[in-house]
Amino acid sequence: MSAVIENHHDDHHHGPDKGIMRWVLTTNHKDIGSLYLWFSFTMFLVGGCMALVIRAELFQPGLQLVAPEFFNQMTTMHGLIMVFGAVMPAFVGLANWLVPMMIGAPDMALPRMNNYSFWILPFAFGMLISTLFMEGGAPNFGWTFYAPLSTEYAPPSVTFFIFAIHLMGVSSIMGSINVIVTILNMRAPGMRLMDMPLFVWTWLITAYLLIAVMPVLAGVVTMMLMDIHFGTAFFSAAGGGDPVLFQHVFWFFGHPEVYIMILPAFGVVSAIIPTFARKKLFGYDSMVYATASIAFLSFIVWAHHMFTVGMPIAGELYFMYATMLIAVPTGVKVFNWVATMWKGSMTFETPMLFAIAFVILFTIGGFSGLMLSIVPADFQYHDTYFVVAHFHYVLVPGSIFSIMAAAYYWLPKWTGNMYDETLGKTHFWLSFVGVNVTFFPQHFIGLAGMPRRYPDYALQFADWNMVSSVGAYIFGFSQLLFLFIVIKTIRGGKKATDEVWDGAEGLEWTVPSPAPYHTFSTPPELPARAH
Amino acid sequence: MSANTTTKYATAKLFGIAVGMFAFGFALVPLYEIYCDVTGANGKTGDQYEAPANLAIDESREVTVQFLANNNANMPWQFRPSVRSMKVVPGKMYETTFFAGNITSESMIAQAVPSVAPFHAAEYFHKTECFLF
Repeated sequence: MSAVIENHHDDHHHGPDKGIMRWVLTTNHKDIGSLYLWFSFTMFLVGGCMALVIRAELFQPGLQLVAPEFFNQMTTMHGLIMVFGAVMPAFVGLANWLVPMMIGAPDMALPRMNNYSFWILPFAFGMLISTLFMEGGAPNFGWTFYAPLSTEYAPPSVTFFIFAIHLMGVSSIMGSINVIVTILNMRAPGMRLMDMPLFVWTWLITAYLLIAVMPVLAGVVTMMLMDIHFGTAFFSAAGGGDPVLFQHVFWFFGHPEVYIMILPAFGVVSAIIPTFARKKLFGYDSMVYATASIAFLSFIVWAHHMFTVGMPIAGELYFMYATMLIAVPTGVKVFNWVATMWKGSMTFETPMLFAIAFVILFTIGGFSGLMLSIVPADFQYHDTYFVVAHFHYVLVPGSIFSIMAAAYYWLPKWTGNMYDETLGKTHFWLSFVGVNVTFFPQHFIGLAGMPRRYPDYALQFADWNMVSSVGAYIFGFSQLLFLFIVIKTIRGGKKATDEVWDGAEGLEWTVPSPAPYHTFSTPPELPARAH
Repeated sequence: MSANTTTKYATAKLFGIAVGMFAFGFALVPLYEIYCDVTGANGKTGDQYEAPANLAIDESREVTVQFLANNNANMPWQFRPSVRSMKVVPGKMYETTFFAGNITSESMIAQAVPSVAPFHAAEYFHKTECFLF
């Protein structure tokens, strides 16, 4: 130990380091938030390209462009990359940027673990994407990777897939621990739980869901690894196991996973709509309870993904009723958003356009979900494009639109510059038209009987498939406009005020725009409470 | 209590939940077996291979039992039920056989996995002798 006292410069004279090592070593929640967001945007474009390969092949009946084996790799990787690489990291990036500022905390509770949580992801996805170039090709068994297709019949790259899933799981679990400890321990003095912005609440609940179910995913993927390499027979009937066991364990993770992908979206929309309606969020308490109810219910409905495996009727009925029950708290939320807008003084800037589109289109997705929950009807819909239409409606004009809404809403705070409103609206309308032209017809072809994950189809499905593919290209290329808008905003634009939006409430709007590298180094004085 | 202590404690607790849920994932394997045994939901007959104690024979009802043998596509042997369908009366013991033939020139080990459908019937179907060869 040196006894020499060195003359340190105060850190706040320097600001962040220059160069690439700043980003490699950063423990700053704003930097890490930006890293997550850029990573997720990159993955969104990569997964989007895969979707365009799929839609190109499905543009016309026949096998014209890609081999069926490669098509299966595209559908699998598209799903994995969008779920684990685009949607989830985007929400974690938003959590990193916003949660500390919204609760008046200087940073996350565990800043170094925060850094690890991010940097695991480029490694995991680099490995996953590299499987495309491996002998035997990338994983080709669907993002839900049912056994034994994913165990006995998988390409050699399945082991890398398993490793990548383990890494992503570790990242999510560490990130969630960070979020919970931050929210529970580091709120500004005087901020009770029921004073927190709804985005913080939804992330608190989402983080608990993640900690509960990501380890189960790790378990199922470990069982797969053991079946493939260590001679066990968890999922092999010949060895005394059961393929249906895979589905149960996977969906025990899988159903809460889809709520993990939507609850933060609810939080974003609950922040944006009150601002642009210039009216407080209607029914704050019921919004919190509804979110908690949805999270609790999400644990006990998993088998609605497996209605056709041969469960006894009692099981099917239970899961049907429990699934339909989730519509109740979800409906409460939708009604509350509408009630917030009722008699509000509304303007329709880009974030509000995305938020309102979310409310309408997510509800449409919810209705097709309700249709799927009816067991006898599901026997027709299962594994058809009707299911594909449902989940794309809740994920694309659902989760993705909320992420875009969040980007437009908070970019002025992050960068200090307003985005170009005309370009933003253009991006919105192109995306809105694109997403509906892509996915609405998929309801029709699903009802008509087109199976999912098929590279070719019967002639009666041709017309709507062509329409859907045109929509996909419109939507896909519009995202390049979004990329342009984001980069343009970072580089310059009309200067943003601290408050940015007339009617915006919350601690993040009390700090300068762009937000300083360190905010709330001393806890803020909270404004007088309304309730 | 300093903030660090609380943070460490909370982090450890949450990490413990994660580890616990990983264990729960593996626990689902025996739990699933138990659930299926109790409810007969997976076609397993769920009891030991022993002759049941005096069961009342109900001559008034007849049940048709059909036998299937599905071979794995890679299995180079012959395996089929000797009798495809039997009418039985509840409570009486019956015997049927399966034909298994190794048509290769090498010795082989094969395993047959039994299953009874529909599930409701499984709990009433008692196998008194198991076959494995």
